[in-house]
Amino acid sequence: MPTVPSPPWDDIYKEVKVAMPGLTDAVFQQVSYQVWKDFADKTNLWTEEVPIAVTPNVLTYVFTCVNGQPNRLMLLYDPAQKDPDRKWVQGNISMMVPGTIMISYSPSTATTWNAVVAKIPVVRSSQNYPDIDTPSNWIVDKYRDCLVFGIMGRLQNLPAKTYSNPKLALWNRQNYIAERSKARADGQKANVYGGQRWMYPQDFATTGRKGWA
Amino acid sequence: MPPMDFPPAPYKGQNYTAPSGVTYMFDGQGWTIGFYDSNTQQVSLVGDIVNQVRTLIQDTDNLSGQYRYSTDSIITALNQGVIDMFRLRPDLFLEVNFVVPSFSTGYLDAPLQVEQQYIPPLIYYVVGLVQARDDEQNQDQRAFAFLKTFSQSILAIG
Repeated sequence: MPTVPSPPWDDIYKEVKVAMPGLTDAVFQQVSYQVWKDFADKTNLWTEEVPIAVTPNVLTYVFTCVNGQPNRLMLLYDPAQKDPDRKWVQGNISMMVPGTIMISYSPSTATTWNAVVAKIPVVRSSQNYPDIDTPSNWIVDKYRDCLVFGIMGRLQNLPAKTYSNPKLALWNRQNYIAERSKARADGQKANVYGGQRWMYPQDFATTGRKGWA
Repeated sequence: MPPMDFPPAPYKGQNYTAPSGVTYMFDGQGWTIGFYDSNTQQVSLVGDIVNQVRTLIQDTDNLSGQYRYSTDSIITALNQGVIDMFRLRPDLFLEVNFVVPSFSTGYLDAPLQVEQQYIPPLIYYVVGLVQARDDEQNQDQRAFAFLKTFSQSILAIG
């Protein structure tokens, strides 16, 4: 029996379901998970700030996120610093294995630094949808059209289904990628209009370097 | 599970559903398994499918004591149908981890484990397959049409 999921996936479910005759819930759940994972990976929008208790003589720190799994270390900063701009607490910090931060030299005294981590989903909720934390629901709500494009594109690309449609799949896929790029740029500019308008001159560029293209 | 408690003085045609969910019918001599009485007008259980198939192939009269097409043969066709459905649309069995269900005459109250919207194609398949049998009353074209409707409705729109 088809079941409308809980927010934030309910509106996306309804939009896709009416456009895809014969689509089952299980396939929708699978594809929405794939698209959300791709979206979170490419945009770095789904983030979490994790406190890291650093101590002298220790260079490796393992941490976990509340929802999702760490995908990319965006920043490791010291909240005790007075500078309003958060800065890397030191150079050459890495997270080769997601969830394990390696610093280049240990602090002289024990303290707490904050790691800003971009996440990707790792488990599904009890309803089999990506397990997103409620404070992050705004991402799904704001980029609903983008996610709908992505889900429909993937679904229409599946062969021998009642909703197979390679032409529309291509169109939806292109829209998804364009919207995903905008989302990435929004994230980089913290959703501020006109924030960081300057960019390198593009006259001689061989590839586009605009944040949103 | 409580023990079975058949009515003490049954009349011919009387039904009894055991705690296990299996429905029995008194045929005048004894209780026979396999009869399913759908009074719900639903098509969600195995027995509902059998009933609907019988309606479509004009096989609802069992006054002679048996149907033209045995329940066993209809369930076999249904089992073949879900296998064929899995071959064409494996995604329909994603929810059950690609375990293709197998039904039996003893459990007509079993759910189909196929999403509701794909139950009508299964009915078309079973009707087509049971009519593909080499009987004098059967029409090959009709059987073929039902089988074709099955594949069309799970692979294309309309």
